[in-house]
Amino acid sequence: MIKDYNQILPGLEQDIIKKINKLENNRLFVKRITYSSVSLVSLFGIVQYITYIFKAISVSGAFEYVSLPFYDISLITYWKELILSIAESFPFMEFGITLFIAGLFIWSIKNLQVNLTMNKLNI
Amino acid sequence: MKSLTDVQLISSYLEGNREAFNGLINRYSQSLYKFTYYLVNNKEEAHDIVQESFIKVWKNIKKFDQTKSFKTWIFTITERTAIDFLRKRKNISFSSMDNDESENNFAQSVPDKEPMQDEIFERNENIELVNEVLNMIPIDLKVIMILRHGEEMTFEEIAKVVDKPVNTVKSQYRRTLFTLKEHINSRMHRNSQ
Repeated sequence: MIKDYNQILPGLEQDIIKKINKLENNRLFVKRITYSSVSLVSLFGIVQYITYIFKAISVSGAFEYVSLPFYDISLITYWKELILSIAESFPFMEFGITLFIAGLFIWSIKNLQVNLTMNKLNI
Repeated sequence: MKSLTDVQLISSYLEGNREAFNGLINRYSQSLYKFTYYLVNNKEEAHDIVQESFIKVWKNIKKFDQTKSFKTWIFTITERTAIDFLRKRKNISFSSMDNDESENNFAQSVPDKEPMQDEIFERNENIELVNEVLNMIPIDLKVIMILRHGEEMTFEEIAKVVDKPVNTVKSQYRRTLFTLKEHINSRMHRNSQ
């Protein structure tokens, strides 16, 4: 019955391959744009936050607390209070956010690299 | 590519080898086309359904359970795509054969006899007649007949594709075969007179 059927429409395989290649290229293109955008934005974010951290540290007086023992070595005996003062003035939240953005940057660059090393984009 | 199994091709594709998916297309497009053509009776529509089915496979390939048969999976997707397509076209016939309890009167009205010889499907001179009679039966039974005779699937494989118990598939197959044979014999008898 069906074994003898021979009215197969020509070009079926090629049509499917073309259609899927097109969809795959579109998907790769969208991923490439997304990863590039994320990496650029996160790079900008890292620069901004590092600048912000330095500003925050200088405003909070953490640098002064760090430099105190260099002026007067006897202050070392109060090391616990000194460390607490530094910790209080240190912008931990901004530092955490910077680390998160740095992670995002590394992740997007890694994915972008994988995406670029895949088969050549034919758009 | 031809020597690789379906699972090896899928793994290769998921590892980044885009050519591997073409191997799957090459392996299944023709048989899916034949299967779909028999369901919809239109070349262009069968072409579109097979293309759409492969796109669905491509989109869901990561979700495919590699411990299961790819063949039954792809036929399930194609069968559902074809049925959706026929529903949209609104000329699907299984609903008219089903009663309120979703039981099929066509299959149940035929006595459940001993397994029958299916030589009617093997004889070339019957092709046109078989096709004509096949178009008279409900779509769900037609799917079973095509998978059994076109793809030479086992009842277990067919049961997975149509998502029915194996015994139901066997029983529906036997009853449909009996009915088809009756129809064909009566037509042949009429033609010979």
